[in-house]
Amino acid sequence: MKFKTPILPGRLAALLLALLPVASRGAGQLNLFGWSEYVPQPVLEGFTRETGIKVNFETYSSNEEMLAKLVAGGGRYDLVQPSDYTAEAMIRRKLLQPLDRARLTGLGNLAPEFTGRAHDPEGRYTVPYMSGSVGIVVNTEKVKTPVRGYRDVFQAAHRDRIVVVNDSRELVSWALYALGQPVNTVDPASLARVRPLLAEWIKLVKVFDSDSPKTALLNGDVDLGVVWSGEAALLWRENRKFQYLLPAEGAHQFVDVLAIPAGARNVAEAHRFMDYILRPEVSRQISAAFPYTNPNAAARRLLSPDELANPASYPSGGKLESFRDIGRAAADIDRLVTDLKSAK
Amino acid sequence: MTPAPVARDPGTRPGALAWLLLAPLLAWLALFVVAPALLLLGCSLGERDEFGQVLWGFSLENYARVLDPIYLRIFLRSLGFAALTTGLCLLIGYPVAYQIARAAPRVRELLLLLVMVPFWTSFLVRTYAWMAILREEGLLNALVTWLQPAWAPLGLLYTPAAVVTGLVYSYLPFLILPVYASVEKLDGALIEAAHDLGAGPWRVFPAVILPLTLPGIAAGVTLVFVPAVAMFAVTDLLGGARVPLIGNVIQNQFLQARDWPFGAALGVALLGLFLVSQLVLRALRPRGALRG
Amino acid sequence: MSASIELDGVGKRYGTVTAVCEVRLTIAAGEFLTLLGPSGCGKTTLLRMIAGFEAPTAGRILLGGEDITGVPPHRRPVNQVFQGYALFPHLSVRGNVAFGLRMRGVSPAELVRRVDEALALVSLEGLGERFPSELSGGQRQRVAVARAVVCRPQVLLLDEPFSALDAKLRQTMRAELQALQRRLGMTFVLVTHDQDEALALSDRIAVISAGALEQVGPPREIYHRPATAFVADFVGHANLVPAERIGGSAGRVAVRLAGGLEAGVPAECWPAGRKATRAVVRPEQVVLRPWRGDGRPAARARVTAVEFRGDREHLQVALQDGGGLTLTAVHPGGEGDRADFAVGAEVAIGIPADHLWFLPGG
Repeated sequence: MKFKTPILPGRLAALLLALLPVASRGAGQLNLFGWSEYVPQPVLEGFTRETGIKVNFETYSSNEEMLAKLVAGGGRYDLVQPSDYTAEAMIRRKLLQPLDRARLTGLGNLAPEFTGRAHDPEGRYTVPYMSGSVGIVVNTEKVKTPVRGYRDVFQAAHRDRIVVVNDSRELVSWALYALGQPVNTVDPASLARVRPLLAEWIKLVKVFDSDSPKTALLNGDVDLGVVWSGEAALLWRENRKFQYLLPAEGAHQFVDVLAIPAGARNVAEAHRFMDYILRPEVSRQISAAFPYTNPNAAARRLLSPDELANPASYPSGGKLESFRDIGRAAADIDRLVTDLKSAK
Repeated sequence: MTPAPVARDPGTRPGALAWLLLAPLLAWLALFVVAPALLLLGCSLGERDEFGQVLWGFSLENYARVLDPIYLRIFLRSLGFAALTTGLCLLIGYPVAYQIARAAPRVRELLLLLVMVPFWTSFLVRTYAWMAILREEGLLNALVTWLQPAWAPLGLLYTPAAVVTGLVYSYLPFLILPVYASVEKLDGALIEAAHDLGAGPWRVFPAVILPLTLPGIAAGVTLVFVPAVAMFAVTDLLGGARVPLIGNVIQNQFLQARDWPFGAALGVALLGLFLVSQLVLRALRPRGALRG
Repeated sequence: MSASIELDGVGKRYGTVTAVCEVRLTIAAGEFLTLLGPSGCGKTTLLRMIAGFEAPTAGRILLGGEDITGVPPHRRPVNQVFQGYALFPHLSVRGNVAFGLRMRGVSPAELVRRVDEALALVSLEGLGERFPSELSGGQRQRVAVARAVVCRPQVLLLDEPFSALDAKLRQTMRAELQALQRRLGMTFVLVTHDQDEALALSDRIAVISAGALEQVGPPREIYHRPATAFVADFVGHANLVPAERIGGSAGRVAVRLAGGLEAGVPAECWPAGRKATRAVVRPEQVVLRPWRGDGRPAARARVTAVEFRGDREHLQVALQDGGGLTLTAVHPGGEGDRADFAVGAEVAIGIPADHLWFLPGG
C-alpha cells in the first residue's frame, strides 16, 4: 500500500533539495535541462543509483525557451537537449563546448545515419538522443480514400476534420514540399510563393495543437492530420486504425541531441550521463516510454518486434530532411501564418 | 443614521510609520509591477538579432509593426471576444450576484461558496473538463444524441463559441464577486424610496439599482475584460488555435518566432490600451446621472 | 388634493407572531395624525402597510373611500419621508426631487417648475446641484420632504423624520414641518416614539402598544384623559395613585387617594360604577410646600431625590402614609428656596381636585 508509506525524513530532505533552485556547483551533481515528456524518470534514477551523481532536472517545451533561459542563466546548466537546427545555431554562436569523445565509450552504438549530420558534421559537440519525423496520421476507419502526401490531407473533403501541429515553420515547410521548393531556403520570395496554397490549407484545419495533437484524433473530433511521429506512435499503440506515413513530397526529420553548454560547471558528470544514455539497455528504456525513432542501433536490437513494427517510430521509405537554422526568417514565417489564420 | 459629510483634509500626509507599513507593498509594486513593465518597455524598443536575442536600442520599428493591419485586426478581434465575454458574464453574473446578495444570510454563504468552488481546481483542469463536455464524443453530444438524434453530432469543440463558453465560464466569478459586494451594500430603503416615488419594478433597476452598483460592475468588467483580452490558453485548447487572438500572437513571439522585442511591443500596446480605457472609465464615472 | 384614510380591521401576522392586531382607524383628509408608540409596537408596520411595502394579512385600507389594499406602492398616491431619508446618493438634490416626477412622465418644463417650487417650499433654492453627501442633516430632511411632496400625494407618510437630527435642530424642523402641513393641507401620517413630537405636531394621536390601538384622540385629550395606564405613562410622566370612592352627591364624587388626601371631583371624571381605580397625577399637578404641620388638605412627604433640569427640578417625594408610594413632582428651579426642597427635606403635598383624572380601566 504505497499511499500508507510514511515519507521518510531522508526522502523529505531529498524532496526539499530537489525543490531548491539549481544552484549547486559541487561535484556529484548534474544540472540537466531537457524537454518535458522526453526523459523517463527511471533513467534518471538508474543513473544516480549507479554513479551517485544527483540529477537536477529542469524542463522546457520549446527550443526557444531553452535558449532564452540558457543565455540568461549562464552556467546553471550542464547538459541541454536541443533539436538539431538549434544545436547548429548554438555551435555557431559558441554556446556549446566540444565534447571529450574519449569519455563517450558508447558512441559506437549509434546507427551511422545519425552521426556526422549537417548540424554537427564531425560530431564534436552533440550526441543524438532521439529522433523523429513529422508525418501524416490517418484514422483509417473514417478516411477511406488513399492518402499519400500533404495535398491528399488538405482536401476540401476533409474540411474541419484535420489536426496539425501548431508550429508555423512546420506548416510553411509542408507547403514548400508540396510546391517542390527547398524547405531550408526561407526568404520573402519563397514565402510569397507558398502563401496562396497555405491560405487554402489553413482554412481546412479544425485544430492546431503542438502539445497533444493525438487528443483530437483519439476523441474523434478529427480524422487525420500532420503530427509529430511520437504522437502518432502512441496513437498506433492505442489503436491500429491510426496509420502513420511519411508524405510523398518529403518530410521533416528532427534529431534531438545532448550537448554541453559552454559555461557548464559539471563537465565530467555531463559526459558520464551522455555515456549512460548511449548504453543500449538505457536507450531502450527511453524508447519504451517515448516511442520516437531510436538512433542507437544497439538499443534497437533490444526492442520487441511490436515496437519495431510501429510505423510511426520506424517509418519505411519517405524522403526525410533536417531543418537548418533560418535565423531572422522565423519571424517572417510567424507573421505569415498569423496573417493567414486571422483571414479565416 | 446619517453619515456625516466626509471631511477631507488635503494637508494630511502619511507619517513615518505609515511609510514603514507601506514599504512591503511599495517594494512589491516596484519589483513585480514597475520593474517588469520598464523591462518590457525597454525590450520593445530593441531589436532581435539573427539568433533571436534582444539587441537593446531605441527603435520604434516594433511599434510601427503593431499598427500593421494584420495585428490591428487581431487586436480588434481580441477586443471583440473580450467584449462578448464580458457582456455575457454581465448578463449571467449580475442577476446571480443580485440574488445572492438579497438571499437569506445562510443561503448567501452557501451560494458564495459555490461560486468560489471552481477556484479549488486548476484552471487548466477545468478547461480540459470543458473539452470532455464539448467534444464530438463528449457529454453534451451524448445528451443531444439521446434527445434528438437527428441533430447529433453538434460540432461544438474548436469553435469560437467554445472559446467564448470557456472564457465566460472561467471569468464569471470575477464578475459575480464584486457585483455581489456592491449589491450587498445597497440600502434597501433606497429601493423602497424609488417604489414609493412611482418607480415600478422595471424602472427601479435603471434608475437606482444600476447606478448604485456601478462601482461593482466597473470592477467586475475590468476583472473580466482585461484578462480575457490577453487570454491564450482557452483559445488554444477550446478553439483549436485556429483564430489567433492577441494573447496567442504575443505568446508566439516569445516561444516560436523568437522575436521578443515585437512581443514586448505588443504587450506594451495592450498595457497602453488598458491604461487609456481605465482613464476613460474614470472620466465617465458618474457623479450624478439624473439631473432635475 | 388630500384624502382620508380608513384602516378597516387592518392586521399583520408573520407566521404565529402578530405585529399588528386588527386596527380600525379613520384619518380625515388634511389631518395630521401621529402613530405613537415604543419601538417594536407595530406602528412602522402599520405605516408600511399604508405605503404598500407590506401587505396586510387582514382587513382593508381605503384611501378617499377607495380600496387600495392590493395596489403596489408605486401606484399609490401616497409618498413617504423615510427614516434616515433614503436620499439617492447618486443624484443631486434636483435629481432626487425630480425623481418622482420623472417616474410619472411629467413634461420637462413642468418638471423644472415643480422642482423649483418644491425646493422653494423647503427653502433649498440654490442647493439644487449639491449631492446628498454635501448636505447637513437638516438640509437632507428638507430634501426628503420636498422629494415626497413634489408628487402632490394625497397622503404624506413620515417615518421618524426627526430621529437623525440633534435636539436643537429637531425643534426648528418640527416647526417647519407643521407650518408646511398647514400650508399644503395634506393628510400627514407621522410615526414616532417621541411623545413631545406627537404632542407638538398632531391634530390627533393614535397611541399603539403591542400592535393594538390604545387610544386615539387630540393631544390634550391623550395627555389629560388617558384611557389606559400605558397611555398615561407613555405620554408624558404620570403618577398613578390608587384612589377609592368614598361618597358623592350632586354631580360630585368624594375620592380618597393613597396617602390620605381627600378630594371632591366632578362626577364625569370618575369611571361610572367603579369603587376604586387609579388617579393620573401629572408631576406638574403636584403642589409642593415646605412642611409646616398646618391643617390644609395636604399630605406629608419627604424628598428622596432631586434632578436638576435647568428651568425646573424633578423631585421624588415619598409619602409618609402612602404605603411606600413615591410621586414625581415638578418644582420651579429657583435658587431662593433650594434648602426647603433638598433631599431629606419634609414637604407638604397638595393635589388640586379639579385636575384629577381617573383611569376608566383601573
